[in-house]
Amino acid sequence: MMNLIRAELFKITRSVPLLLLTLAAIAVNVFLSSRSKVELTDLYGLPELSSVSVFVSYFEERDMSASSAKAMMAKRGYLDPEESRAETLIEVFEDIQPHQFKLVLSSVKGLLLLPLLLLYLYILRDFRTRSYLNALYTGRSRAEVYFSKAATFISVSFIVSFISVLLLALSYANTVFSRLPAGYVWGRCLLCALLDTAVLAVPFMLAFALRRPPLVVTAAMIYSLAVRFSPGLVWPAAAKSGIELWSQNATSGLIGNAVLSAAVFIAASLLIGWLAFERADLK
Amino acid sequence: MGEAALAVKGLTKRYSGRAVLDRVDLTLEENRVYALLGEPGSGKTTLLRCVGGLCRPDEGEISVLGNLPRDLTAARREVGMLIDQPAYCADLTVLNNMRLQARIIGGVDKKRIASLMKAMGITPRQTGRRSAGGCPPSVRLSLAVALAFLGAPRLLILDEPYSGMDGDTAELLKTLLEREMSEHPMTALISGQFFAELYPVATDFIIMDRGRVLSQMTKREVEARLPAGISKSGEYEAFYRALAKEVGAGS
Repeated sequence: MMNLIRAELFKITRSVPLLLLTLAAIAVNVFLSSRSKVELTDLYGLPELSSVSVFVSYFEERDMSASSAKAMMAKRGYLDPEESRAETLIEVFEDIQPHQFKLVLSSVKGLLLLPLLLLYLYILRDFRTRSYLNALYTGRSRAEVYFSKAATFISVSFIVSFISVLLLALSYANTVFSRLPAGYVWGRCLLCALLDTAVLAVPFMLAFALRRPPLVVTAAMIYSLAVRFSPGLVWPAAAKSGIELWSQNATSGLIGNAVLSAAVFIAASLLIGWLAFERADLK
Repeated sequence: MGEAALAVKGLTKRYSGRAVLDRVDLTLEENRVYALLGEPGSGKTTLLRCVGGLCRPDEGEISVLGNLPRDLTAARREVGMLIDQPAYCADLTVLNNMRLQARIIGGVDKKRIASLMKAMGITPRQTGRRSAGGCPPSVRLSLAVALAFLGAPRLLILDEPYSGMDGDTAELLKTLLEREMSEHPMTALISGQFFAELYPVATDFIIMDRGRVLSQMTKREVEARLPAGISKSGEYEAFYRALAKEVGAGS
């Protein structure tokens, strides 16, 4: 099993297109997620407040002071008036960033393309060129082949998701990292990556259950759209879209449930994929 | 007679109710080269896929290198295979494909990789830094053959390796096979449609037709029937067609 995992890692590190596409997957994820940051201004009911300059201009044009802006943001629940020491409009903008960070974590959009890229990278090309058979040809069991690929895929998905979320968090670095506890930020980034990984476990299962690349891509695309537009249908995606989970005040029960749902979802997906692969006639 | 390298008993495989393999019995002795001959659709590849663990037979038993069916996975670690199409990692160079397989097998040194690539005529000048996917099909086939030999298998299974292989490479494969068999115990089972391709390397011949093994004979038995003076591939094929018909093919 360890030989196979080492072989998978060798393949990833020696394949230039694989590395480039992994970086592209991260870039696409961050880009789409940062787009959602801008679009989130819709949630404020003030679409023009997407950057510090327009935020400041918006209030200045209306002759509103920093304290009025702060009161307005506090009324909407975007900042805590007792904790906020903002005295300028720029500082008010900085104080609402942690709230926006929570909203972004709950609605990262990159998942739409990520499953397809990762599937293509790690699984479908193996089916196309039948390279996964080389391990079976040398007497490795189907279980070894399947679970070594699963371990690599789940790990890579988690790392790619985590890097993506971390890069996104870095775009809030001035406010998020300086004003929020490090444990909260890192913990939520890890939780976000775990839930994304759970969502990605389904395309992995589809790949091994269906095995024909066009069929797998179509099914994965439909699944991605379902995750994007009806997250309620997919357990970890539903858990992720709730804003309460990303709040500093989230209960340990809520976080525990999310972690458990992710773990169960990953385990169930891998099991279904395994049952299909174990019985299949391989070509 | 030593332990059977491969023993197949009553092997049956059906697709949509149709028997692609029909109660196949087969025994391969050690240190011999078996040519598995038959028309397309005769069941050769399905037989090899069952032996290789790629599909499960509906009935029957397979024993590899004396191992019972329940230990087949472990036994296959001493088997080298090329079944159907070459299997390779398209993004990796030919050399890295060999290194990848060496990691999967474990305990394969660099010298063996270099030696097999050289034996199959794969040179760095020929492949350069190109990925295997960008190499000509003939190079990918040579790569797949070298991969099958990599673990110094006791049982080598090659499914129609001569399809798409030029004469020079076929000669390299013959030389490699002879070299490997002289260095360690090995049985080879090589399938093909054309008798002339397999005749120079084989010590035994198995003729299949419509999912059944019709005949298994030694080279000596075949030679006894071979007309004197034939040398052209067309003449060999005509002889084989007559032989296959004689043992029941097409009837």
